[in-house]
Amino acid sequence: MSGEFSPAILERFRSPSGAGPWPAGTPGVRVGRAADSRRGALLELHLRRRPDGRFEARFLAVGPPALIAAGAWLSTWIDGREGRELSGLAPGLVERELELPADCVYCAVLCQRALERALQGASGPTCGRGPDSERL
Amino acid sequence: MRSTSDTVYMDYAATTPVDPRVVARMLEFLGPRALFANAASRGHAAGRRAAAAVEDARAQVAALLGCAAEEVIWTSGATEAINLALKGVVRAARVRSPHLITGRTEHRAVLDTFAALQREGCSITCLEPGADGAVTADAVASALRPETLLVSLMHVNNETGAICDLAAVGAVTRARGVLLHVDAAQSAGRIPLDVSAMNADLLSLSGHKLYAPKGVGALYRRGFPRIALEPLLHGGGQERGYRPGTVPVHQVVALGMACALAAESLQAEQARLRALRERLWYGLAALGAVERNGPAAGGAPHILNVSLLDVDAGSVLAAVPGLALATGSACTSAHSTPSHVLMAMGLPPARQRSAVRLSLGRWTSAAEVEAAVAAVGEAVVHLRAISPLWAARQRGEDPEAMWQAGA
Repeated sequence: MSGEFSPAILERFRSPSGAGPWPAGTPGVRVGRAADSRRGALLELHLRRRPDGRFEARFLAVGPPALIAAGAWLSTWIDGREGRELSGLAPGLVERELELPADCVYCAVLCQRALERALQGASGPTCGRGPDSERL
Repeated sequence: MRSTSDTVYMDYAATTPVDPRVVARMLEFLGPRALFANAASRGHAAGRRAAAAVEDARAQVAALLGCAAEEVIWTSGATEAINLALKGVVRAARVRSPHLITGRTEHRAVLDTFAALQREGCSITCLEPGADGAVTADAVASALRPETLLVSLMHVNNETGAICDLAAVGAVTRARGVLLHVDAAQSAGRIPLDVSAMNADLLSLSGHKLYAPKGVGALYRRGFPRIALEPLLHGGGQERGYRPGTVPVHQVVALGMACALAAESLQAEQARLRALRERLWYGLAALGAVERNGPAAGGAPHILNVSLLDVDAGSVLAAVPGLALATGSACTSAHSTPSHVLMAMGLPPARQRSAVRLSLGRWTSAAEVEAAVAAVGEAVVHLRAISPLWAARQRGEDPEAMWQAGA
C-alpha cells in the first residue's frame, strides 16, 4: 500500500511532526475537528496563540496515511503564522504540497475545515472538551 | 517465508509461494530435454508419457478430495472452475428461471458469477451468515424452493477463516435433490476435504493457494451419477470436452504434486499453524482493545482477522513495510472500503475500519510470528498515540461519538 503514496506523504506519515496533544496544562488550546465518517477519516487540530500573537498547532488524526501526513503538514505550516494568514488556507495548497492523489483530496478539505473550526472555536458539540481546551 | 530479504510474509490466504518440490516437478516438463510433449499427442511415446503424467496428477488431486480421478477437470484456477460449475450447471439444466442460493460472505468469484446468472434470468437468494461468518444448514433449508437448482457456499471464508458445516448443508441439499457447489479455494490442502462426506456435487480449487503456481486449478464434478455441465469454451475436446484447450502439463503436474504434499502433512501442518495463529492472537490481544473477527479458536488454522480499534487498517499496513499482511477491506490510497464479509457479519464500522488479516503458511515460523507481533504492536502504539478515537477512549468517552462531533 505504501507504494501508492508520494514521497511527501510517506515522509510525513512516518515522521509526523506536530502529532499528539499539547502537554497537559498548556494554556489557550482551541480544538477544531473535521471528519468524514464514510471514509473513516477524522482530524483534530489543537491550535494555540503564542504570546507574540502568532499561532502554533499540534494534531490528532485517524484515517489513511494521507490524512496523517496532511495533519503533520498543516501543523508545520501553521507554526508562526498570524490569524489572517491561517484564514486564507485553501485545500489546493495542501493538495499540491503533499502531491495528494485525486482520491485523497478530501484530506486537504478536512485540513481546511479543522483549521477554520479551531479559529472559530466551534468544531461541534464536543469541541473543547479536552481538559486544557477553551473556546475562543 | 521471507519473500524479500526484509519482508515477513503473512498473506498466505492471498497466495502462496510455489513449493520447491513442486518447482522441481514442473521443471521435468519444461525445456527442450524435458517431457514437453502435448498430452493429446498419443501417436508418440513422448505424448503418451505426458498424458500419463497428467493422469497421475489427476489421481493426486482426486486423492486429496476423496473422489475418482475422472471426476477432476483441469481449469486455469478457482475462478474459472467456479464459472464452469455455476454457469455450466445452469445452462445444462435448461430450465426457465432456476433459483440459486449463495451467501453474502462468499468470494467475489462466486458473487459476481451469481450476478451474471441473475442477468441471464436466474432467481438468486443471498443468505446472511451467522455471527461467526459462516452460513448455516438451517438458513439453507429455509431458503430452498421447489425450483432451487443449486446452492454454492465456500468451505473456508478467505477473510475470517470461518468454516461452513458443509456436511450439514450437503445433507439438506441432497435430501431435497438440490446440487451443492463448494468453493474450496481456501480449504483445499489446509483442512481435510471429502466430497462424499459433504455430499458435494461440484467443488472448485485453486493451485496458487496450496503451493502450486498461479494459472492452474481444478473442478470436481460428481460423475456417479453424472452432473450435467455445459462447457464455457468450445474446441479441441480436451478434458472430455468440458474444458477444451491444450492441457498445460507442467501446471497440472505441479497441482498434483502440491495436492500430494498437502495430503502428506495435513494433520501436522494444521496443528502447527493453529498453534502459531493462537500465539499471534494472544500477542496482538495483549495490546488491548483488539477484537477477533470470525470464529474464536476454531476456524481454518491459517487465518487470523483482528480489529485493532481506534486506528485505520490501511495506516497500520503502511506503518509496517517489512510485513506483508492484508486489511479486512478493499483498501485504496484514499480510504478503506468496508469489507463485504465483515459488513455481512454485522460488525460495527469501528471494527470494519480497523480490521487486518494475517494468514500463515508452510514457511511461517515462531520467530516470524514474534516479529509480526512486535511490528504491528509498535505501529498500533504509534498510531493510537495520535488517534483522537483512542484519546477519547482513554478519557472514558465513546470514540464513535467523535465522528458526529467532527461532521
